Amino acid sequence: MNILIVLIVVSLVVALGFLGAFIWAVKAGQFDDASTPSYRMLWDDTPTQKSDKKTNNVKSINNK
Amino acid sequence: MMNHTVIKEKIVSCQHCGEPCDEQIIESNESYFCCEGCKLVFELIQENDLSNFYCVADKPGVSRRKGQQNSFNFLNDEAFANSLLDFKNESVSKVRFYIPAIHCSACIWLLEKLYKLNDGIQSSRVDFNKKTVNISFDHHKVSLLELVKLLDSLAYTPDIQLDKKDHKTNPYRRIWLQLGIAGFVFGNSMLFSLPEYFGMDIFNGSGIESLFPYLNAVLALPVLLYSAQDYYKSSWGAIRQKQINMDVPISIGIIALFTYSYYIIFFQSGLGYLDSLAGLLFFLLLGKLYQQKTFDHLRFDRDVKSFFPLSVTRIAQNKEEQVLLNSVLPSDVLRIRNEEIIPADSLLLSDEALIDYSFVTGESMPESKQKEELIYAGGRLKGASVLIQVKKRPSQSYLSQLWDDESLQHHSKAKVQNTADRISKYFTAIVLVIAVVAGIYWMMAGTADQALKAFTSVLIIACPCALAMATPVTLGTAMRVLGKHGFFVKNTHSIEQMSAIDTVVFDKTGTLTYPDKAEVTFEGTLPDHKILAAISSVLNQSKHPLSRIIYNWLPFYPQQNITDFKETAGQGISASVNGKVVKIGKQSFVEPDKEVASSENNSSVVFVSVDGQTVGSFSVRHVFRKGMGDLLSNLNQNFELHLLSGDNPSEKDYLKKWIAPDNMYFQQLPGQKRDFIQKLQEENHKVLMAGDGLNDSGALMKSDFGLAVTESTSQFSPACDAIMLGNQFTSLPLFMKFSKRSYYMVLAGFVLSFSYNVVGLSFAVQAMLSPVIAAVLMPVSSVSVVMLGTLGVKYLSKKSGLHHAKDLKL
Repeated sequence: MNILIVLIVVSLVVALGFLGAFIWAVKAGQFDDASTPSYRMLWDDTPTQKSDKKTNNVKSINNK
Repeated sequence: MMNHTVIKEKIVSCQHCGEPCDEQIIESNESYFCCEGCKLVFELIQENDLSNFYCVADKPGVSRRKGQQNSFNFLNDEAFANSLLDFKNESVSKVRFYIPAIHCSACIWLLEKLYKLNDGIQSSRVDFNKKTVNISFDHHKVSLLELVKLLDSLAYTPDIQLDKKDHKTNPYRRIWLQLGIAGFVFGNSMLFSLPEYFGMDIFNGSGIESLFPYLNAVLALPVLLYSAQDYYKSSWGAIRQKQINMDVPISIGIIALFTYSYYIIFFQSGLGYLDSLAGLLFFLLLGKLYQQKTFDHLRFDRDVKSFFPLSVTRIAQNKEEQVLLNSVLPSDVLRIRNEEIIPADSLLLSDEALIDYSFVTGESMPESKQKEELIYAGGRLKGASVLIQVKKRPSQSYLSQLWDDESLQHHSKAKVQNTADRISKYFTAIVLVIAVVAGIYWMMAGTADQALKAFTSVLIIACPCALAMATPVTLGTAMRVLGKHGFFVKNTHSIEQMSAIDTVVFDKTGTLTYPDKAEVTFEGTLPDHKILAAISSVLNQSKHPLSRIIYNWLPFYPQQNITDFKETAGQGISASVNGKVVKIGKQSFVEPDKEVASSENNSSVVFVSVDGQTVGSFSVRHVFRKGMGDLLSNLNQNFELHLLSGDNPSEKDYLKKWIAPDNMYFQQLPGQKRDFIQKLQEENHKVLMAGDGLNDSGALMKSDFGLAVTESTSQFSPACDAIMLGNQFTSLPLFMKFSKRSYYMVLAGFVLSFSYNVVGLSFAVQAMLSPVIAAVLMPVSSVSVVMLGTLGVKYLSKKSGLHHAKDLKL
């Protein structure tokens, strides 16, 4: 049954590790701004140009 | 030329900012721009391979048309520049700017690509909610001044403030930490308590289960000492002022929970209630965090200094230099340019100046000042630049006094306790009585142990967690709903205030009317084109705003030959055109012989005479907001309406339809407005004041609910309880009804949490409260109050037609 004591200790240590990570994240400012990253993630690194689409349309019309 | 007219008919919108090119169209490489500034920014973006800016959002640029030329030369002052920096070492400087123009995702995109525009910039990070950008740059390669000029050239002009409050640590960090620790302890101690709750005998009497209460005892310490700190502080503060707020019964409950649990764990080998303690704080802090998330980019407590200029142009030894405002001394000579604000009480050295005091007095027409006259601070110069000599240091002048006035300090707003705090006084007393009675009963009828258990259980279970959450959660949700519709409330307490309003007071100019649109009507028969052409040509010579408005209203005529042009300040203009003498101005100026019918100083009426014959008069009036009539008649059903205007009473007759003539007051000074609100309050009215300018600031502050109406949230707005976008003005009755209903929802939450208290107390007084009951009852009551608050308000918003978020360009 001693194994249970070890397990409890291990589980607490793991949980404390996560708590520590959380405290570090808050202090590092990761919780300061929750809304801007939601915009940032939507950008492609090299977004396709809107104007390309337009010129494509023009081309296809010209082809017809 | 042909081409251009065709384009103009289609109303081209600017490639950069998307605004209609109604004044001019500038063409460049098949792109059209509304102004030279937009074209420059467009080209700058193209050159630096940043054209994806225009893909992130549709025509996202900030218009440069309204932008005035800013001089940032004061940043050359090294001490001042350094005071703006957040951080500086050998190679890197960091600075944070507040940029009101940030409004869409493309702004974030461009501002985070600044490093492509200048080598010296290492990185930049935007905080969209706060509308700030953090920039790291190499100060050897680029100076702060160059940085600011770069931002300005993109039309993202930073709003630089002198007295920077320390914004380095985010106020939310503390509550996040408290919440995280409480959540951690809540989860773990609940896990350690489960075997006991379910009577599990999985450990076969090995004695491990007796370890759990001690683990809980250790885990609970950070919750007691750190997470719950603010509740002790707040209740101690209240008790010292001989008051009782919501945090007092909460603190009593927390301490009772903790001490009784420790007593059980260490002296009776029981489990205690420590998991409930952690759960309680977790939910309480969650509610608090929800309430604190407000509109970070809005400034509800702006003071006058934020719209004073930072630097002024001083003339010293015949040279102009930019100096910081607070280094200006009496007898300094300053040059003030068009649209600049007079920073200090001064003497006018130039011959003549037109000064717009609409911030201060509300009078929409500028005053004319002559040489050697005293000019008060706070006015805005219209027209050609002038020289002034400072009489008083900027901090001592009239406008600062208006704001430093004791009755205007923000502490002066009578602190009205919110409903929860008012209830808590009785609540605490009743709970203490029940606890003592139960304790005495068990002392006589049972054992001392039972008496102690009954006494503490009452304190524990009565801890008003759910009660404390009803207000922040319900009204916090209501705040978000209102925010989506362009109505930004300062905090949840303000919504409570708003629901009690019975009297509504309006300012006129800028609130009921559009701030920048004017309507011209001509009384009399409109003369023929020949005479109109003459009038137009004379008006074109004058810089007076009324002349400009009328000139723009008249059809376009070729400029006629003018002789003997004369402008009499504050009176009118005269000139002869093709042999005819044209006089334009006040009635007393145009018709000096005639008795002026009314003594009212009706400056918005302009008379015209040709060769001594009065032709008629133009009246210029501000255009009332669309839907104002509906708004007023709607409000009239439920509220008493008043009007306080700094302007002349020319529109009294028009407004009579909705507002009783006795309730309309014109030519009111800021102090009079404030006193009027106070008078209404002394008659036990709850007053909402809606205004826009600095001249309303005293009244806004004094009122029970101050509402600032603005055209864009980046504009200056005085200190207030809520900021509303002008285009949402007609929805005001809807907002007020919604806030009232939300308040009823709070009361429903109170009833619900009381009923949980009654159930819990019935166990507690019987000395039967087991840790399981506490562990179930507390989270259930909290969660159900949260559900009632959020879902209830969502339902209300649907019912009020507020569920569709409007597309607002802030």
